[in-house]
Amino acid sequence: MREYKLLFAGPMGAGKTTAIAAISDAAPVRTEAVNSDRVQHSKELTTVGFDYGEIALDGGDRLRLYGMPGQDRFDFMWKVASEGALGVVLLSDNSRPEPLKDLALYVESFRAMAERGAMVIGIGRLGSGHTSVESYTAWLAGQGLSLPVFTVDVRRRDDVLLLLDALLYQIEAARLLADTPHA
Amino acid sequence: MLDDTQLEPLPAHFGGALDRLLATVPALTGAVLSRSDGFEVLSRTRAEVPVSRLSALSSSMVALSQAALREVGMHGGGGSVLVEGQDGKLLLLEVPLRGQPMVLAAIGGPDLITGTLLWAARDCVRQLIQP
Repeated sequence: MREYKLLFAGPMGAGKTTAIAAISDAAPVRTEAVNSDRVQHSKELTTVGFDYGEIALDGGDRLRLYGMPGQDRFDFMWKVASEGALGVVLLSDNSRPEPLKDLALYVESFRAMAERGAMVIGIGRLGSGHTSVESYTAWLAGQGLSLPVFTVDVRRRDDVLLLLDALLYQIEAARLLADTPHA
Repeated sequence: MLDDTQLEPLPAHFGGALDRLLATVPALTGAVLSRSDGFEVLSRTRAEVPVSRLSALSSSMVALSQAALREVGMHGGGGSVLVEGQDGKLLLLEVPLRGQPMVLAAIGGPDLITGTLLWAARDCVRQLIQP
């Protein structure tokens, strides 16, 4: 049996906990605390450790899903969880004033994965903001990155599974490319 | 002389509770009170302590310990985490304040006796909850 460790990262309130709950085979492990930073986000609870969920794959393989805390004072958790991680789903909340500026911190923090193609972007609440999908793609290109970008509703299982499918495809394609002898 | 940090108006007895903790246990390097979501609210230190980083770490560690207890069918409320290394000890205690739970972190050197640390820190939590 093989196990694959994947991360969900992104700003506070982007839907990481919801996304893992939408696809995990069993109720996820949660580490939420009362949110006292209502200026940053109005939600009542916020993740301070990590969320953990699992998906069983055909053939007995298993995906292990780790949802990272969004606030940057928990960046130590991002570093710890990145050890051995195959890839990362980066969620954006497009209703925030500057979603690309928000995203920059996470792209930089998980840059090693982004550079090997092990990152996909899921844009939530697209219609509640003014940043287009094309703007995300152009911004990523400006960072020297070519990554899949999707609009998603993380409450919908199929949307989140689409992100995981794309991420695993990206990872496999990058691996095959690396294994291909140069002409 | 103690270095103190107070970031916002807090119940007056909070400062006294931390002062008494450090007075009771001279081997303590410092005590940091944080909200359960990792924001520092009050500290008393005798040496350099990275208060804001410790606050974030404390909330994560307590939340993870509670999650671990839940997974094995135990209730995590009112719990603690003790981390020991060759240079000292770090004790994290939940402070179950209604509406805004907090975490108390107590830091001490290698000579600090664990029993003394546990007893004094738990007494401090009791004072924080019931002035």
